[in-house]
Amino acid sequence: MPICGFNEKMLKGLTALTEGLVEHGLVYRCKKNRETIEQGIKREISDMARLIPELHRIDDSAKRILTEGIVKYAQSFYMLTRKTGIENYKENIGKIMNYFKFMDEKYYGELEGQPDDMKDLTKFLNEKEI
Amino acid sequence: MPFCGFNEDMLKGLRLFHRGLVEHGIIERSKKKGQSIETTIQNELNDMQRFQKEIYRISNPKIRELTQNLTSYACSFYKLLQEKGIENYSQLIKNLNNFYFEMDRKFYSELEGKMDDMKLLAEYLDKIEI
Repeated sequence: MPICGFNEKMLKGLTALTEGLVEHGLVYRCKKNRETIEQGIKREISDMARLIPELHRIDDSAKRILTEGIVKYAQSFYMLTRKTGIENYKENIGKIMNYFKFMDEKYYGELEGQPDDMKDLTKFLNEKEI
Repeated sequence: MPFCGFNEDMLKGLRLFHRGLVEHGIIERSKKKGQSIETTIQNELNDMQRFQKEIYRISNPKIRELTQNLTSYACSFYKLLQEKGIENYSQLIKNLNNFYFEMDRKFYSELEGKMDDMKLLAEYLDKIEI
């Protein structure tokens, strides 16, 4: 943990997924629906907010938490995008990946095995800018 | 939403991320530490649970949510891996991608715009085997 030591493959994978949220989920879909990017982000966030309260219907707990995790990840990414705009989305996604990489490097490089490792890690994360 | 219509790049990205969680996070780490796969999975789960209790220290709510959701996601993925067995990880990853693909297909091709769309979607997801 924290996320098992990101390797290049994982970062590449997460980058592709997150870029797809912009390129496919916003740019492509907004063109298709003839709506602005702002409207698209708003619709996505609102749809996700309606789905999350219904996920309790998935009995299998691991499956439910996976679904919840991926939907909430996308939702918080869209919330960040609403703030930063989509013009520099590749750069912004790069910053998010750096943040996750920092989280792992800090943990495995300095904190693993120390008392209060997780408390200290979150303090570092709190100070790290995205 | 539900997941903004997965495209091929996003599915490929997710596959890479999942493979990294198994191959790098569990297999490589078990070898490096000279411990069993089961022990590594359990240690990862314990670390994540300890980490989650400290995440409230991240004051930016959007960053806090991203961190929380990615960690929850990895945690439930490892729980599923524990249940299915490491030898079946490729199949598990395929099944997960199929699950997300189905989530979007069902929403966009049948449910979008209907009353109770999210309730019906969650009930449909509940029936899909992973």
